Amino acid sequence: MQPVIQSFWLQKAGNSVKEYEDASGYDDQTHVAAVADGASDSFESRLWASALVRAFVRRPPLPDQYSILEWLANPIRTWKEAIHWDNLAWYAEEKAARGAFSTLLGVSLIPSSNDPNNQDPACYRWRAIAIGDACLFQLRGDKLVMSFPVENAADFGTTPVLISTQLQYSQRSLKGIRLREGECGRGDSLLLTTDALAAWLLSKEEKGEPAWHRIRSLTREGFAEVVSVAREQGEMRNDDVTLLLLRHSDCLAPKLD
Amino acid sequence: MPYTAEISRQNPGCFLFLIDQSGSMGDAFGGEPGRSKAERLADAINRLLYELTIRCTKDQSEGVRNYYEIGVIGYGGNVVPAWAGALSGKVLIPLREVADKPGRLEERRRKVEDGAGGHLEEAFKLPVWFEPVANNGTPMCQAFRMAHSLLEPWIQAHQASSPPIVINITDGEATDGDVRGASEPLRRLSTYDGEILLFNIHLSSRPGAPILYSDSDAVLPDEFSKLPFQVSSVLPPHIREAAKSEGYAVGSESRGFAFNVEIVEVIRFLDIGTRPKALR
Repeated sequence: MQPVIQSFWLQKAGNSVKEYEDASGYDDQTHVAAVADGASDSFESRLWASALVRAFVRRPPLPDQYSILEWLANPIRTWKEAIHWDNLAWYAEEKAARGAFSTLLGVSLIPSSNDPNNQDPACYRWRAIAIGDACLFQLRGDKLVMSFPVENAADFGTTPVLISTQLQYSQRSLKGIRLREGECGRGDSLLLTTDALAAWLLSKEEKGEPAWHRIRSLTREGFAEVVSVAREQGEMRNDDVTLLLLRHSDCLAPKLD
Repeated sequence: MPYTAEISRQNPGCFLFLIDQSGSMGDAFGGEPGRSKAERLADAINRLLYELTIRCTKDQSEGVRNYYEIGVIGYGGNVVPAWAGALSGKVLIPLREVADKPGRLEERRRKVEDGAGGHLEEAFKLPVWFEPVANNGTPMCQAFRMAHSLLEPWIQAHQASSPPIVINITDGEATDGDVRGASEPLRRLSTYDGEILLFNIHLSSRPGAPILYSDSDAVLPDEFSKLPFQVSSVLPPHIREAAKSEGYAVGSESRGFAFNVEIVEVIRFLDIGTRPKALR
């Protein structure tokens, strides 16, 4: 059974489309998805977020800090090769030397036919790696069953862990890496979101005004509308928003824990 | 609520530095002999602009975003904008132009981590926009009047912006009048977001305790220190939070005021005073 994937994004209000600094990607053969949020005060953040997402989707790392540190070599090379080092003004040279920073959330879906422990051929296991505050939500129908790595809306807003083109920095920040596994059943959805949208969705849930059903049935225009209204009402922080929505409507429901 | 406007390219912020260039600025700081106050202050302002420029640099194609306009006025023999080189004669300059036209680039060296627990030296380029100047008296009142005449049209053109921050750095008293009257028109300029913020830094001329971010002149030792306090603005919330995060004891009435400070405190005060809220 194939999960259905939809991708939505919108740049910060007041910015142009080219100034969007998140990234998202999905491979529908290998069932790997990732989102990343480039730090707005680092150099070529969009480039870094894209390099991370593309590298994850192409070949997700093993879920441990050492493997990820090794895996970083390729996206770092991609970022460095895209910079014209010989042609930089003094300020760009210095800023580039300080590196680029981003959050990253990557999710691998394992069809259960590959999983010897799972008797049901139609369901998926998922495995997630998170550095920073991009979030994975699992919905059963329109109900939130899991939020990772952030579980409370109040926990957004502090400086998240970031992964950097500076290896020493990444080595330290990878100590804050979060790992999680789970299972998808019938009617389940997985949402990968960057922090502005994640914080809004969690705060709506906590206020008893869940917005999951609105998010799950959107067109592109509908998504832009929901985000614009939430920003105007001061409910959603004005920042780039990114959503990957994966649905597994044909799976049988697994036993609930 | 005042002082909540975002800094953006559409609604840039503004920093105006008023720098004492009187004869006594040619002396060293009170507590530490060595380079003159004028030299160390020029260096501090150059480094502040260096960091500000880098902070606002986004990528290869866009370069520096014009989140700010910057002005520097020196007062001593004359009261004039203090930009050098290609920028001389100009007053308030968008940050990108400041970045692209330093007076000169100096090769400096610094230590960085080598990734194996040690350090190595690397070269970097430090732009120099200002050279130290020290002669004559202290026409501070005239500097405040010039600041007003520069900022009044800027204020009219940028009503949606965060109001300008004016930072006056001196080692003495005005020799041309009473700063309270002279700075009042400046302090009353405002955008929709609030009144101009005037901060005053008084440089140490003799050993003694520094005083920072006071909320009352009751603790100040003499008229010499009370005057700059009286013309200093209360810190807006984001700068108060920045000062707190740097370990200073600040309250809701704390003012942007530093008295009898050495260069290290000057640098910290400038960093706190120019720390951004989010840049859009």
